Amino acid sequence: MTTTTAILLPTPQKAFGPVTARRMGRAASVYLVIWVLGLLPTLLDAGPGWTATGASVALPGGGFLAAGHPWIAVVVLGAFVLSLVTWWFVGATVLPPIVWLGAAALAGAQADAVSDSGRLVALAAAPVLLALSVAVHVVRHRAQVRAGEAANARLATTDMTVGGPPDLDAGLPVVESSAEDLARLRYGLDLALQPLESFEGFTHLDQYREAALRYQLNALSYGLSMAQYTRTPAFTGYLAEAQRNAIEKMLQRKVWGYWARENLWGNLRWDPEPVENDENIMLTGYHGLMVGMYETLNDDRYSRPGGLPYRWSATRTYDHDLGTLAASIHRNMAGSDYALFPCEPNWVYTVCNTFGLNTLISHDRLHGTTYAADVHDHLVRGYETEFLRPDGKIVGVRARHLGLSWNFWASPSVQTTTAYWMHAGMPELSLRTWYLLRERLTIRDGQLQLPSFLTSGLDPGNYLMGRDTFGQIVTMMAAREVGDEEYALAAERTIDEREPVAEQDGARRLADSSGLANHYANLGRFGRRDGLRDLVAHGAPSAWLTGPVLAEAAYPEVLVARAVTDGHALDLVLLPGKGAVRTTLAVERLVPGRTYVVSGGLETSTIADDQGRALVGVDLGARLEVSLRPS
Amino acid sequence: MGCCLLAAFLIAGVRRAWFAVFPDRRPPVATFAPAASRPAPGARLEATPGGGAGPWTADSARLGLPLVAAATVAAYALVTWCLDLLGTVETPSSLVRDVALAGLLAACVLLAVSSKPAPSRGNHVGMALAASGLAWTVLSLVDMHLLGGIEVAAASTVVELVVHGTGLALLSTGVALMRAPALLRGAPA
Repeated sequence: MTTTTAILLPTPQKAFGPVTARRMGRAASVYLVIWVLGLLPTLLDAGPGWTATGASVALPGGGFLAAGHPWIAVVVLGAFVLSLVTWWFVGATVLPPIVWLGAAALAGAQADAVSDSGRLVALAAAPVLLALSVAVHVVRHRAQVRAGEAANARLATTDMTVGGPPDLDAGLPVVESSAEDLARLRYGLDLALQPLESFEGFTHLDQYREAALRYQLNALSYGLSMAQYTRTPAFTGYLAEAQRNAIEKMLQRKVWGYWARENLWGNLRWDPEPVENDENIMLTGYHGLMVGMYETLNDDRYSRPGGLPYRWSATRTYDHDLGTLAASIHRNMAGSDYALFPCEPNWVYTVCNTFGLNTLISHDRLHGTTYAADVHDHLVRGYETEFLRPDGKIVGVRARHLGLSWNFWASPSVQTTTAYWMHAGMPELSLRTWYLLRERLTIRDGQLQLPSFLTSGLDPGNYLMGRDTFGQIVTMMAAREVGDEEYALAAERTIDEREPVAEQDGARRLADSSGLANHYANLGRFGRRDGLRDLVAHGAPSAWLTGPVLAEAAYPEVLVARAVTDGHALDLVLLPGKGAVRTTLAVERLVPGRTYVVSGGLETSTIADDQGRALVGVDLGARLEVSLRPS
Repeated sequence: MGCCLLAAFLIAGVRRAWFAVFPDRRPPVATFAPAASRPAPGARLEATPGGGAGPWTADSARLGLPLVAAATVAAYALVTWCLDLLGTVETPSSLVRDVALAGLLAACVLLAVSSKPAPSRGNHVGMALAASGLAWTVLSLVDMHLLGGIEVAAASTVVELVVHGTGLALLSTGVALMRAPALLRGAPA
């Protein structure tokens, strides 16, 4: 049921959410014990070696400071910060303790004498820094509370419409792709239709961060699924095959094998098993959603037992399916006091967990479980109390065990991306986040101006800076999804007018943007109001699942701009992709033995065989409408 | 995706600086896949081009000897620096020695980044170990016995073994790895 209401920000009671406060308190207690241990040699007058070691235990590099080597102390502190960054990048939890303890041992071994001033600074520095950090947080928190109150005053007078389920019996909107749409789609099709072991045309930089192959495959598959949902729900053929290829490329070790390394250096466990753990939602959530989208309009092969075999070696495979992925996500969300759970060891990301929720919603709809409903309130509470600043900005990341986050993390691109992906499962939060984001957007001369931010000019798909195209793309996605078409069109226009386009063999892409950005551009291009929400949460009309489909067509000779069924007839709009051609189409799910009237084909009628299949010849030289109707 | 934008931003900063200094080192940009093809129903599929590996192929594992030398110099400097901190060796003219080692390291790094490494044949690991061992041995002999850069504080076989033996161990391991296939076959390499 559609509801129109004001959606306010929660009023924070304290500077930290309850779970975060507990984690921080525990971490502070552990550090207090460590600090006291570091202080003991000084109290016991244990000699320069032990005193320097103690100072280093209290502060990484502190022993060198106490021993009169301030520059070495600075180098060690720098190395420690670097180890923290590496931990964050690739989940290498072991690195900071190694640097910290190693420096302590080295400082103790080399110290001949320690100075009182150096020792004092070493012992006092960390507690002072921690106290300062808390003070800064409290001051900033108060400012954010004031900003949140002002935002709530605006939100209270703004009605937002949360759409209910669409009327599936009346059908969903299916529009016709333009020649440009199809050229952009061909870019994704060519990538996906190459052999499973081939990755030509993909970005190959690393398998840990945004440029990893898995994120390219996810985005590629989502864009193809959205194109099928909004343009050609009655066309399986090479479009469904391309989605299958993307899903199955994810099963290759080169794509998911990163987890074995992260599990080793993050959890000290040698176990490549990618699903049966309490982390790695960056695989399970994203891959599960690919399958959920595919299964909505195609078949359930990946829900059958062992349908997703993650191949580690010739002799070892981890057999999973959509059900085990969803069960793993559900178990981890239910078992986490944050509700959200980590991607890399220890690091919890808000956007990744929206993919997990979308996987649960898809699985519930397709298989009758109640996973999403089970965790929904828990999850909303987690987002609202632990991962939301008082001013309404979503906190992008938090360390599970330490409770820490980075305040500068709440960048517009993170907000926009999260607003898009949470629209299916938490539409109120999505709409409110979008509303607050939109306040900072301006449209000038028809083009969209994004707010300046540290990461605005970054393309995360290739780590290159200088263009805000990625920000424009995710803004287009989110604006279109929540129904703010004015902003979606402004973003689309900005990209179209500003960005050069490359073309090869009829496929077109944004020339100066990464593959990841291009795939998300396609997702935005093929989206519509509530497109993601309908695809994930509500699925397809029964007529789409039982009516005739175009099951085979030559590629790239036949480009399908529109394909829809009412359960009995099939309506197609085709465009030539390789010049004029006489070719054959295969239509399936017809009533066996029934005669169908054909328009736009070489014949005027055809009879379905005993499998419900019929071949239809067409002369395709320009836009062609073809239909089959029961006689 | 999108969850780690700041991390990507930091990586972007490093990459930008790197490519500003070495513009020809920029990796190939991902563009298009080979044009795919699917036949009409009942027709036979023509062979499609492509299907090869991505940009990272076996050639990507090419061995850069200057890079090995740079890593060896850095490791040698670190080990002797640690020994110095532990008081097991002394460096009479530590500033001059540090500057010399830094200069050597910088030269190796510059050589490594400014030259296109030639594809190596045979066992990459073995060759790298052997080259590193040779560099270490020469460096330690010159440093300790020719220039007097370090002196063993108290006669210690262990320290001598660490300073000189590390290079010899690397060298012999590398040679053994390079020769292993031939030895196993019982034929000359």
